Amino acid sequence: MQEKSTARLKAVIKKYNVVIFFIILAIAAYIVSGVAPTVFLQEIASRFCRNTFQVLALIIPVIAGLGLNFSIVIGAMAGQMAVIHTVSFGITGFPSFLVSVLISTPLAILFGFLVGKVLNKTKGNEMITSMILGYLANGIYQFIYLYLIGTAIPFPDKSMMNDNGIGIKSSLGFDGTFRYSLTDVWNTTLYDFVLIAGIAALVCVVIYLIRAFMKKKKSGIPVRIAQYIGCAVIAVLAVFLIILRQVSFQAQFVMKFVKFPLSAVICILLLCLFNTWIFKTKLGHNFRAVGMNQQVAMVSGINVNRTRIIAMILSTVFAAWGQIIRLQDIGTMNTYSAHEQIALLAVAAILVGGASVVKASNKNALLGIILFHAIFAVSPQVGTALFADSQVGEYFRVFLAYGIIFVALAMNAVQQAKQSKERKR
Amino acid sequence: MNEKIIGGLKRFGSARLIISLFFIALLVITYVLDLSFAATVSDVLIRWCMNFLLVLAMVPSVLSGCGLNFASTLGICCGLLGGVLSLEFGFTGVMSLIMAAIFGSVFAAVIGGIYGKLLNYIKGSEMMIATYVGFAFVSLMCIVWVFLPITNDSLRLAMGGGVRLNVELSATFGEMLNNFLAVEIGGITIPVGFMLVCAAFCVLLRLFLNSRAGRLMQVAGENPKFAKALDISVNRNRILGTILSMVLSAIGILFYAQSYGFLQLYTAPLRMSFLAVAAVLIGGATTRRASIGNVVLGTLLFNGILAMSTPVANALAPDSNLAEIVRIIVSNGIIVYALTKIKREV
Repeated sequence: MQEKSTARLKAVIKKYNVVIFFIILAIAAYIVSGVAPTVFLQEIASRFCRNTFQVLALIIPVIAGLGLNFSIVIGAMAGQMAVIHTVSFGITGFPSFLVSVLISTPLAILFGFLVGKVLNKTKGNEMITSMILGYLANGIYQFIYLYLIGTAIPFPDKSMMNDNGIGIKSSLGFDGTFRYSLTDVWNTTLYDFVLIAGIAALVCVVIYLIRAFMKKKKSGIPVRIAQYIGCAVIAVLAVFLIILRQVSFQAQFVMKFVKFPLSAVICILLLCLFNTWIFKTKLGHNFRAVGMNQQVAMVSGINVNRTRIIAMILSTVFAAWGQIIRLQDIGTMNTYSAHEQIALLAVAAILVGGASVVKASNKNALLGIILFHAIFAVSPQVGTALFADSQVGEYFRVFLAYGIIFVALAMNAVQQAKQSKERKR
Repeated sequence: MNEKIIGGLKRFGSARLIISLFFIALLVITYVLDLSFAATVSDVLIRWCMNFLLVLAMVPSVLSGCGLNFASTLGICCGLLGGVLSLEFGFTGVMSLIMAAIFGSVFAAVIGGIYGKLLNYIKGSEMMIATYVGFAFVSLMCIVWVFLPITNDSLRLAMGGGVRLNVELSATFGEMLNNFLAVEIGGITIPVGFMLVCAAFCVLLRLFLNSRAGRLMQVAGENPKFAKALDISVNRNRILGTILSMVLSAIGILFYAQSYGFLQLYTAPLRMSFLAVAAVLIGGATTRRASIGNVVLGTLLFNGILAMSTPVANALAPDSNLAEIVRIIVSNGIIVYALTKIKREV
């Protein structure tokens, strides 16, 4: 009995080895950095609300066998184009959010369709193609917004353009227009959110423990201990969060006056639900079938190419919406570089959450974004603390993002090579 | 006769044809608009030479079956490290370039060996992984540059430790090859010496490829199953191709740097491999075939376009980085085009 459960524990650790590694790394980074807990919490909360939507956009292509969709940058560009034009029409407040979503959707559908077409021509090399397509689209995007605007394409708002009347400014601010157009619909302060979340977590732990006792599950002792430790950690965290409300004035300032966008969280939850729902539909089954084996899927009457294109369209549209959610919360936009890092950060985040090139879920995305951004947010301070040089921390976090993707890709490729070898035997 | 022309054009490829026409168009525009034609052509020639080895590095990688070497940034970083060490040890004149090349090649051979071993585990997904190996290595090297214990003041960052962002080469090997046996004809400077050096590398590579070891490598790359039947070690030949590619990249970046006048460190090499890949593809290479001829043509066309688009773009739309956009669109467009061609060959 004892041995069996130890084996089970080992299996659990093996299954979640990536996640466990990054949990340890995140905790270590946090301790070394010496960042105040409230600031840390605020950083993670705002990064979570801004980035999660785009990370969730990665899931469908992974399941459909297209790998990690690096071309979500193209979706992000569609979102930015929509935002630029919405703001130029002088629309403000919540309508500006709706209008940008409305403009971005057909653009993203078109782009997703084109990307899907190209990816169908490059089967087996989807990831590198999607990445290079992202770079290519960046060039075209720059060409349109630096040269065609004001020369070939009329543009109503002169204040957003360069002084010579050609091209959009390289940095745009949306204060008073598009900023907080979604956030202001329903938000609270982090201060209140922490209280609610803490109480909710405590209630959940208590319910879980009661149910565990009622069931008297006969799982092995180590696993049970691991579960209890997990519960205890959550409980302690919840208590800690509640106590946090009593801390210093400076900390309270961060917590009381920074907006926490519940409306963005609702959007994220809706997309999670959508991702769960779609895989229960016929289309979702097709995604899975195509992802598993294209030949088998084709024989069973699925239009493989069409299914792949639909997966790309959905991903691109979500990436566009995600970019809009992100930009309205940030409030400023680097017109020609805001999209560049999107794919790198999103892909690294979902991989940290335990996803791979062929497997991804909402859970991976949510967990990954918290862990990855916990590390990402504090690494400059870690660099300062360890090497007295914040630039090192900056380099380190870039290295971390690239390195994570490299390791995940390599692990997957090794597995694939092994499988194809076995099949040959 | 007609068929011959059409067949020739088909072999030339529509993408290459478009690029060539674009090149010629730019050349004509430069001449017609009188945009200091001679200086521009000189610039084209210099850029042809300065990028040549970086592009040539793609050939052994492709021929050994490892695909386009998107990770040539590893070799590039090694070459930069060699350059920094050569300057740190106080070499001057020709020796500084030679020692830099030697140091760089040694590092590149070691790194290439390790990286080649890795590639043997991941057959079939080389290009994607190579890209991220390159990115990760460049960012790792950023940390190395910060901590490199440099004593030479001309290399050190003014504040604190670490190497400078750009290391000036005017006192050591800057523009050494550019001026080597350079001939001026009608205002156009022809870097004859530099061209000869590049040609020498071509000859060396040609000799290697025609040697027994080179032929075995090409067999292993072209048809691994057949090679196995002949008892040729595919894995070892792939490593050999990777090492050669890395060493050429390392020397290539030194040639590039001497023309440019600076060793560009930190994140500067991040996307350099893409430019080399694009150039060789424009020359007519694919992910499975590449020749020295592809390199000669591709480097001239691609870098020629880059060199000429700057003055042309400035004439058409002043104060712009239209040339940069041309670079992005042409280089990435040609890579996507090449990727779509992979399946049809197999």
